[in-house]
Amino acid sequence: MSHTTAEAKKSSPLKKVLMGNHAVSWGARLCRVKVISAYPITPQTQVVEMLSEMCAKGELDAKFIPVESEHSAMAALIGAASTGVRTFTATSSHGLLLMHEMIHWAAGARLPIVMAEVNRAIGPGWNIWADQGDSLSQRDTGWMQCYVESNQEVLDTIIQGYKIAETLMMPLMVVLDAFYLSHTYEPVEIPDQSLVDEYLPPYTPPQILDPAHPHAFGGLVPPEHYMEMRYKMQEALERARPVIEEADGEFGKIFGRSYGLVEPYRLEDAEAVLVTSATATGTARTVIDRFRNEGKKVGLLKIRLFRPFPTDLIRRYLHGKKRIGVLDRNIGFGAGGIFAQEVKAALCNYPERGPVLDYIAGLGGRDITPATISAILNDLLERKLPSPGQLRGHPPELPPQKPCKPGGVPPEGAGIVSPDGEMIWIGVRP
Amino acid sequence: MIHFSSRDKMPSFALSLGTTLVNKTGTWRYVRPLYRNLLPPCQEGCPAGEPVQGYLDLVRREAYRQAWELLVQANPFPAVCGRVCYHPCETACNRHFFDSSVKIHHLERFLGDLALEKGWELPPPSASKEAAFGKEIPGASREIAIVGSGPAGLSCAYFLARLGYRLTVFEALSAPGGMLASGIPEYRLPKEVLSGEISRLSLMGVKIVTGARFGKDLSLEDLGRFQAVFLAPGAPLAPPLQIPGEEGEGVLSGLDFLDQVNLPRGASPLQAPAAGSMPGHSQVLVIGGGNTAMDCARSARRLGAQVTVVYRKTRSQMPAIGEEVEDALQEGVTLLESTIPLRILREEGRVVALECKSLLTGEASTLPADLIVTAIGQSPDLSFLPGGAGSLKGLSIDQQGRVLDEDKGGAPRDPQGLLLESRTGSRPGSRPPFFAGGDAALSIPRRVVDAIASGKRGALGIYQLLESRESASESGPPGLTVAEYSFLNTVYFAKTPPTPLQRIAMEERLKSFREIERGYALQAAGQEALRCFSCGVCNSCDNCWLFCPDTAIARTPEGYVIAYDYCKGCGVCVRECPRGAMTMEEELNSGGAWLKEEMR
Amino acid sequence: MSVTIPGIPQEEYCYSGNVACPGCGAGLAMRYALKALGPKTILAITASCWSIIAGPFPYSNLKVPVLHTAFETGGSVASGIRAGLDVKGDRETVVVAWAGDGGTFDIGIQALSGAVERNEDFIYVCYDNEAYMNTGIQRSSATPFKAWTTTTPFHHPKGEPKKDMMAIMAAHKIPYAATATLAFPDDLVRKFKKARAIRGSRFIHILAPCPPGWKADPSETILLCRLAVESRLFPLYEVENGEKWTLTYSPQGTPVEEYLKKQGRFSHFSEDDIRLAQENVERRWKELCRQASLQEAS
Repeated sequence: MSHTTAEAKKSSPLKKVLMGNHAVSWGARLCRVKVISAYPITPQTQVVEMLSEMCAKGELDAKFIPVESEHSAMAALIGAASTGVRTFTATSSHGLLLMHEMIHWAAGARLPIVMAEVNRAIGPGWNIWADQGDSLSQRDTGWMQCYVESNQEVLDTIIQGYKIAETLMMPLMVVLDAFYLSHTYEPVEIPDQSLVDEYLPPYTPPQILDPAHPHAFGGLVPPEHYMEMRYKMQEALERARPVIEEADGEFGKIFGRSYGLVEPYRLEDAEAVLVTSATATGTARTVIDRFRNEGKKVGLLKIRLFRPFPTDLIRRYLHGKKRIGVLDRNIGFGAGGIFAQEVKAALCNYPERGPVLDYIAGLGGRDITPATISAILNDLLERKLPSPGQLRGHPPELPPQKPCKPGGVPPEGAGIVSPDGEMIWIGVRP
Repeated sequence: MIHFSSRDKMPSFALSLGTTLVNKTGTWRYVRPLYRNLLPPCQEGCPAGEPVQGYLDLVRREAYRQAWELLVQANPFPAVCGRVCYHPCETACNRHFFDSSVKIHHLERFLGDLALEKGWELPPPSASKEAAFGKEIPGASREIAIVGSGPAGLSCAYFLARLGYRLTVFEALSAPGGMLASGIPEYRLPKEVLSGEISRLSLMGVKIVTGARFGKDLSLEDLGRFQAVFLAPGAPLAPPLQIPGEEGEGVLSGLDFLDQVNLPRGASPLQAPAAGSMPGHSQVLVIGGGNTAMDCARSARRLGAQVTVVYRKTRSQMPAIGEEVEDALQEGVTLLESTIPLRILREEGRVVALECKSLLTGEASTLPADLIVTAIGQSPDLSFLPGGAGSLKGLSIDQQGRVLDEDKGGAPRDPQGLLLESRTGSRPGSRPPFFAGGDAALSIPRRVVDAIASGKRGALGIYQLLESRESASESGPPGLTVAEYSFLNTVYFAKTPPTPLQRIAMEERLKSFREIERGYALQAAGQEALRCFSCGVCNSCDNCWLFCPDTAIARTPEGYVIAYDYCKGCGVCVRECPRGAMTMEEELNSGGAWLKEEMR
Repeated sequence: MSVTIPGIPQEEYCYSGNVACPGCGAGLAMRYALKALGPKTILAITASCWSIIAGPFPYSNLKVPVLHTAFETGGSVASGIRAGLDVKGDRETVVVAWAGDGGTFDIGIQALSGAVERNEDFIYVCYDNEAYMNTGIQRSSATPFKAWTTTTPFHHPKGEPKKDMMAIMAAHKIPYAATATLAFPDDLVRKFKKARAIRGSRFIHILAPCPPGWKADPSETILLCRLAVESRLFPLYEVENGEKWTLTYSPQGTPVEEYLKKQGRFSHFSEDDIRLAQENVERRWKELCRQASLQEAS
């Protein structure tokens, strides 16, 4: 959900009812990308189709490379971006995983490529529906990741994405849920091209492949230099918050919408907070409102920017909260939900922190309904949690464990069932 | 080397900022390539030491004048030698292992003829920076006398003139040239070619006094004013056959016969030395198997006679140049091998036949003859010596033309007491030092180029003596290894037949004394010069530069330069040098010994 | 015979100080290629010996821009560079993908096939040293039949023949494909110049000996190239539009054994193996001659 800003410039934006994938295409078009390279995969295909169409019609002055794989898509963009042009691609799921090597490469090469990533589950078995497992598996590649909630936010974040990426010289992924956004039509305001041009100047990187100034890019880096380069990547992202906030703020001034890195909702006196991302947030807001109406002190924190992880903001908004639940549409096998891990890590060295619970739901496109959210909130409010200092300095006994039976349900205490019968499980027992 | 003073100064990704020239890969090397110059076998084979590879290379580059100037540093008579030399250079030529030798003598002639045609003159000695032996010009006004204007005498005169000396050449006959003038027929060596090359000496300031026979017109005392004397009186005497019937008309020595054919017309006992002047039925027998014999036989054919050469051994053993024998046979000369003359039969004093014996069958036979020409050798006429010919007994001449005393184990004699003095008992120092060369001083076979070489040696000896340059090696050719065929990488050479000379038709040949071969035109010369392998001598073919994987060989105006900072010692350049002009040498301070172990 | 080779440009685009092994064929291949292509060239070098040869950060031995890239991305990265130049209006600069045999025959064949099927406008160069040399001599699909590598040891050498990459490229009907090698730099340079003047996908396959990997004397790099060609093991030819096959050098047909016996990787060859190798060469040569003459006849 965007914050409308009063200072928005006067303009007459075009309003269209667009599916999320077409909002992606429009975003890329407005950014005047020069080289697009993509390979089709459900549920991303309409992005590519519309962009090819735009190129073919001359609405977009760009070269579209219909590569033979996602790996090649990213590789081609690395080549193109190295010549100093703005580049774009879109993919999903297995496509993203095939790209993985070049995902790292693009970041290491400091190329501000922007990609739309439609969150889809990973096989086997084949599953084309929403799941964050694909994008989160690229967590440590150096790419920035924005998880968006609406088709408007899709379009806006692509434009913001270039601004941020080209400032930091790091690539950025705009992540949207399969079908809930990709194939869902929503009214989308398409900004004036002139305003976008004002917001996003042409891409002019300092170093490009240029026969007049020949340099080698990406050669062998021995140990005495590699670490410094990796430090610089980390440094860029660690200090990215002001850049991103400014990009978002400037966007708000021009277009009347801004989103923040995280979005607090009814957090003021909340004792229990549910942390969400992407489209599940919208459902969660309505449930939070209902719980509030019932007098329960619950609130919500939406994480929009996953990388770089907004640790400072997480600490500020979760300061002193007694019960924190994280909704994860993903699973980091053997460690639990990935957003939860990140939240826990953010709070770990922060003294005023509450316990964090880890709710895994909606994998492989299973709907996260109001009932699901309610069940989670109820569990969060009611679950008996260990209190600080309970062990009085003694290390814990190792709890008895039995190997899971094949096909078995989560062991007792690790799973809850929503009123409408949906399974939710707690990634790691508190 | 690029150092980053801080992390901020480093680029944010792997961006090159400098070149790998900082990376001295030469430290990997344990063997290094080197350029070397070997002695091409042609040059080694040439008695005059002609830098054949050098002037062929210049011909290839169409630098004809430079080529000629280089050539005449070693031999003043390229137009002559290109025609009459037995070209040992071609025998030595490595190309004969590949297809056939380079026609060096044709190219030599080409340059000689071109110089005559263009009227090229040698640079005056004072202006020359490259005197014959690469030495400074003495500049002394020393005068040297040469006795004899044959190839040895003129050669000596030439080299000394190039060194800046003043020369006077004394010739007994009415024209200079010695055996070149009198002993070689025109169809092999046209008169104007010889006179052209000799006149170049005159232009250099060499004074030639003809009609001055030593011992008769010229006394020992007359030579006293010279700082040195070079004796090259030649070997004009023909030994007798020592068979009955030899005395009297109808029997001529080869030299006399050729003399008649060659010297000014009209003075011949044959009355008409012009072509066709002998009656067609005239039977001429030539006895001998050397070049003189061939010259006589072929000349006689041109005069119209039927000619038979009688030789005591077989054709393959003939000392004559192979091509000469071949040409003689082509021209209708009959060769009677393994046959010795027994006696000459006369009727009323006239020669009518020669009785011979076959050494194979032992059978005797009689050959009808109108004229018998003997060409069985020549010896010097040393009658001018106070002690006669016998005074040379026990003496030999070394590489510098110095006279050695064989009685004293070959020790060189005191130069001040050479030859004449030793025999006349004069006080040392009272007469100029004498040197000797040419046919008079050479052992057989005596050939033009050997005579030229001996003249050159004499000049060197005189120079060294007068200028107190002691060491022979200082001035002589450096002791280089000869470039063997096995040193070459012949894949870079294509089999190419030699470029032939054009010859006049056979029927035309016998009608005159016209030269039978026409020299190369420019294009043919260039084509033939391209066949030279340039054995052991870099001719800038670029292979080393081209095949270096490390861009470590640079071409400079001075030649190729190996950047040892980067050369890894792979040896590709050496392996791919077509001419063996590179070699590998172990690094003395080898830090790469471990690598060598590893590679093993 | 003069051997000064006409048509070999004097300009150098490779600095000394590269870190190739002594006698490395790959280094020389680049030197010739750039001489032919000139300064308006951008290279995409995929993971291979050349990732090392060019020198470590912050240095480069090349006077043209280079994008070092992942193993299998020659075709794709070059496509992207070309696209970038095209949208900037730079039609003069030529884009060259530079890959080893592993990057071409094996891991990169998909991206290569995809790119040339799209007829991307670049030159793809495979410098073929017939194994994964940078990782220490492991078998690739370019490794010759029965050759030794560390993954095809002497007692169990490679059982399959070398992949016919040229035929694969020809089957894509690309405008130009050619073989070249280092003993024939004039031929190599001519082919690069010809390729540079053509638009669309061009493929040049360079046989580039690896002295350590072939267990050969470093000084014999050129000799091995020459023997490979003269024995018809590696004929020099070009294929235009997948149809016009032309031999660019007429080899002498020297025995393959001369080539084999110079290399330790074939040292285990029995007489039968040598005979078999000879037969294979002859069969492939006949096939090539047939393709070349068929085209002549038509």
